[in-house]
Amino acid sequence: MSEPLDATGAMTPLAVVPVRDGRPAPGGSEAAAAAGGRAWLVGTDAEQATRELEGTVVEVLVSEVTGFDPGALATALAPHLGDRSPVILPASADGRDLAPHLAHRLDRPLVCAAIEVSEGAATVVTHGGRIEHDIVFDGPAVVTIQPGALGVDPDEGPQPSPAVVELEPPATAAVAAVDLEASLPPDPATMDLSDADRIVAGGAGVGGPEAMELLGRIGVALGASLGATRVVTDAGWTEPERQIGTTGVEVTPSLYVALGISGAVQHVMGLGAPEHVISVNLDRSCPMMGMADLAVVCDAQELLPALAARLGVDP
Amino acid sequence: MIAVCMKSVARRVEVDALDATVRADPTSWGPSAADEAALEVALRIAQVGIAEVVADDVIAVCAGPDRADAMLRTALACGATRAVRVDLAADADSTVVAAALAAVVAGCDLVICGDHSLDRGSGSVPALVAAELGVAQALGCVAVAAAPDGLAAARRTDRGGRDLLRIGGPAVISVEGPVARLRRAGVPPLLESMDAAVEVTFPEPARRPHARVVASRPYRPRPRWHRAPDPAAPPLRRILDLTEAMTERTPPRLLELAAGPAADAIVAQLGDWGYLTAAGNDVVPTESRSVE
Amino acid sequence: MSADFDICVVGAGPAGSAAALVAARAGKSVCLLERGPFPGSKNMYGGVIYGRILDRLVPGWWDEAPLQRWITRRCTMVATETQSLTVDYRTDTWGRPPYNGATALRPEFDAWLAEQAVDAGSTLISSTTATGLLRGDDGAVVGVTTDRPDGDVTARVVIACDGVNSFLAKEAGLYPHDEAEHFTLGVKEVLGFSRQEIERRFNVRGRDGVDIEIVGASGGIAGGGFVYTNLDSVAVGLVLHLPALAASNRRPEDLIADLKAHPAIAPLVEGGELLEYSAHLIPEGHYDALPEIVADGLLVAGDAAGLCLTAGIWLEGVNFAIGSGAAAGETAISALTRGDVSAEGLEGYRRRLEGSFVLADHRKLRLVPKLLLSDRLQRTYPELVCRIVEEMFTIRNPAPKPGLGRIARTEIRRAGLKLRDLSRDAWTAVRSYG
Ligand SMILES: Cc1cc2nc3c(=O)[nH]c(=O)nc-3n(C[C@H](O)[C@H](O)[C@H](O)COP(=O)(O)OP(=O)(O)OC[C@H]3O[C@@H](n4cnc5c(N)ncnc54)[C@H](O)[C@@H]3O)c2cc1C
Ligand SMILES: Cc1cc2nc3c(=O)[nH]c(=O)nc-3n(C[C@H](O)[C@H](O)[C@H](O)COP(=O)(O)OP(=O)(O)OC[C@H]3O[C@@H](n4cnc5c(N)ncnc54)[C@H](O)[C@@H]3O)c2cc1C
Ligand SMILES: Nc1ncnc2c1ncn2[C@@H]1O[C@H](COP(=O)(O)O)[C@@H](O)[C@H]1O
Repeated sequence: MSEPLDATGAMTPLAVVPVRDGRPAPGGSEAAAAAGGRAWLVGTDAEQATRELEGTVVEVLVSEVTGFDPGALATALAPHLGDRSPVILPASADGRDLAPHLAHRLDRPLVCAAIEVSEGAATVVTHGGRIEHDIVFDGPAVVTIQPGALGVDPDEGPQPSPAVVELEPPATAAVAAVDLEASLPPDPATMDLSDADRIVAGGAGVGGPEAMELLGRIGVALGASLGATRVVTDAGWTEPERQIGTTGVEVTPSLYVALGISGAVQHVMGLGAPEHVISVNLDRSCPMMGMADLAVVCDAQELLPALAARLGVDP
Repeated sequence: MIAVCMKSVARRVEVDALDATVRADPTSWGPSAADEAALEVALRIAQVGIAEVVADDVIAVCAGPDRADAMLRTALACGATRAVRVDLAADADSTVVAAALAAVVAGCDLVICGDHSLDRGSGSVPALVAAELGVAQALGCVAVAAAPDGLAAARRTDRGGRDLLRIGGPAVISVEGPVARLRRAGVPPLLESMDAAVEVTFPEPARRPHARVVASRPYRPRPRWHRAPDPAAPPLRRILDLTEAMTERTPPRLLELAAGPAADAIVAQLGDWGYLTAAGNDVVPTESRSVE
Repeated sequence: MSADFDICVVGAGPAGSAAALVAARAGKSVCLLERGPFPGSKNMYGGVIYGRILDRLVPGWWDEAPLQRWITRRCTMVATETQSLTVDYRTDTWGRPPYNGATALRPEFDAWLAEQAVDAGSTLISSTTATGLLRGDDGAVVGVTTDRPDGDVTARVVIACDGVNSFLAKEAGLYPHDEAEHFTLGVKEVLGFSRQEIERRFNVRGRDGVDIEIVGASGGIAGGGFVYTNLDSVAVGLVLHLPALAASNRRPEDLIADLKAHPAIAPLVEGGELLEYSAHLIPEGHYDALPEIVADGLLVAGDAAGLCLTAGIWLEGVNFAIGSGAAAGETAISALTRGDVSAEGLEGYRRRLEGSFVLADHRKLRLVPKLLLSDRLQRTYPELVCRIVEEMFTIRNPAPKPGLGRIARTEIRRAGLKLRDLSRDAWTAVRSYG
């Protein structure tokens, strides 16, 4: 088997995209685009995942890997990476598992949660997405990017045929310390949200489970599904499946009505690009208000019954 | 032995809207909900005592300056048997933090962390600790159950899925805040912890490659991504496409209203956009409709 | 380690911290319980604090305490809906040691005072609520229960400083009246401004500040208004007699909005960013209705003992809380030394208070609340005074100026005031303040 990786010049970026059952991790195509269209897909049914990256890759490597051991996987990948840099992974669950191990094996700096990346520099977010920092790194680095941050601009060029890289089977322990017993698919309730064209969503500002319940019924009146931020689902105000964002459901509605949501990156990046956005918040300067076509400075808790009354919903 | 990694963070901060200066509320230093959950999970595992994995010792570890000592003493009051602080600057890079933590927790049967810290929030420290120690990891757990024959965990995966894991050997686990609520310390152990010594270690200056922050500002959402205009189209069309000049789009509006008028404005806007008449829903927003 | 102390103080407000400070300095083992995560965390409002009471407890307090601005301008305003008359007193003396009053943010001030108690050797246990009294076989108080597991704290003397509507004093049966008429509601907004803007609007420099007290602008409800300056915020609010507020059917938020719109106040507070809104009950310290404050093994101090002076524009509580807390601490020390912590052994507490400004002021001003809350003072006098002044300064040429005496007589008659009421109110005022 040829070693296509060695053939490329030094300091060329490369995306490493985890794949599960033929689907690339969320943010995979953005990682590929940020790496100039060069991506290495690793996981189960990796080759099949190239289809979802159509238009964003010019060079694809695939490696079939099973099992659950990011450390061992990083050990297997590292020798092939040469001085490819930056090595870019999506900051999805599997990407965040793997990236630190790659950085450790390659003895490189790790740059997390980037929303922009270029050669030798990146912009990352911290403090729950409230602050962005410009970062520079002198040598090669490993970077994770926030899914949804960059967007992609698919090209209709010819699809490259993937080159398969055979990996040394990762040397895992005889008895794994951590064993994957099952992977549960998302709940059907989640699917309905990810397909929804209209979404009404509540954040910490709605104040409690009763308000989320009322918002859900207002949604029904509008033909909209109910969504929530992680703060809301973590507090148990609504089902966990309703969490929108990079670690929840990614949605692509055309109408998004946000009540009491600050608009942290991890939330907004799971939102797609809704055509119409309404935001209700007491803080006129938070990011969600900045995204809105109609931004209303108002107490969401007081607004809900008023809105319900106007839409014929029992408050 | 079980180790718990806890970071003392400002739980209330104000971020300056212009220059992103972070003003920490000095009374809010302490562990995040996730780190408290990590401690509680460790204490519960220690109580149950799972096969081959653990003795009943729980060691709480923090890398940071001495304002973390209060947090560590509270951990002692709650039932941790040792508290260790690795003296490190608050802004040390995650790779340096992980190396410092790993030096203390090496040899533990389990290392339990929070899913992500409130400030840095990358969730990378647990994975880096696992890499430093060369042990397995189970990150982003939303449920952890200790049974005498081992540990069962559910971990958040992408697109709303879950991995069910069984943990039977040395590993780093990270848990989200709602996994467990930290117990309240009793008064006698609380009093005892007040004069308890926190062991302080001074790490060898770890040389791990890291990146540098050169500028900071408040996060602002990036403009929405536009599809590139058709290269074959005439120049004017391309400019119009790029600027979206001729596409119909409501100019953004900011209104400050009381609840009633705000609801009116929202209903009117939804109507203008055509969401109140679309097929499949028969919303008739009228005052006359009964609201009982 | 067993949770047993000489003295257990419940509540780390000004009263509790002062009691703990005094007792710990005398070498007693002291436990200070606070239900909030830190002292002051539940006191999210500021206030004007008269610090002289600290001279003895924390010498040089003015250099150490976290204070905002020294009050060097004190304005008393009588107002009607459209008029106002202000007596504006300004003195540099109040801006120099030993100072007089200062504005402070209570989370900072309370935390600082509690720190003094801890430095003196008290054990502060925060995030811990006292849930009841522990009693010995003879019924004497021997400690408290708390909401923590294994949470009993035993002590020879318990000092209840748990604030207004004290749960502990009630449980001890010392606090018979908790009817609305003994309470006032304090409501307040804090508005953010730059320091320069505050200096410009209030005509002060550096750390100097202003306290404005207003009669007659509380929407016809017995009470008073206040405006005072912090370093970079302005507090504006009302204290409202609870029964009158209830009868009026008005919301305190709306009453504050009206006050902020008053032509004399609006220019001072317009355009500020709302940082905080808070409401809190204040006991109406009425000398003739003071509760019992001593029981076997128990002392009550501060707001918990109803030791707060409030009526209309009058609002002093922190100084009385510190004074009574310190007296409770001293009483407990000497009772412990004598080995008698029964109610008799602790009886000296009441005497100490009578002998200090705490009860002396309450006694002296015992008639003031009724006067300040009377309809005449709330409505008739402000209107009268404003009208007299308006008449005096309105020039009606070519008509000649009327004499002040004639204006006053006419206006008093027009207001339907009886000379008898007028002179009685004047006499009350002279007797109280003279
Ligand atoms: C690795 C990682 C992954 C994450 N994944 C996700 C994810 O997938 N999805 C997600 O949502 N989050 C995610 N988060 C969390 C995210 O960073 C934010 O913390 C979260 O989105 C904030 O939710 P919120 O807007 O409800 O709460 P807050 O940020 O607390 O905002 C509440 C808002 O409500 C407003 N408000 C308050 N009271 C009122 C009122 N009475 N009326 C109107 N407005 C009011 C406030 O002004 C504020 O803007 C993730 C974080 C990390 C670190
Ligand atoms: C709006 C407003 C404005 C005011 N302005 C002024 C002013 O300008 N000047 C002035 O001098 N006074 C002012 N006061 C009055 C003053 O605030 C009080 O008189 C003073 O705080 C009384 O002190 P304290 O220590 O008795 O009680 P508090 O300050 O109320 O402290 C009681 C403490 O006990 C704690 N606690 C309560 N119950 C328990 C429990 N069960 N277990 C453990 N801890 C408990 C509380 O958390 C609190 O920390 C004002 C009051 C209000 C409401
Ligand atoms: N300085 C530190 N000291 C102890 N634990 C830490 C520290 N930094 C991070 N951690 C642990 O790592 C988790 C994830 O942090 P982070 O990688 O910063 O998002 C935290 O919840 C802690 O459990």
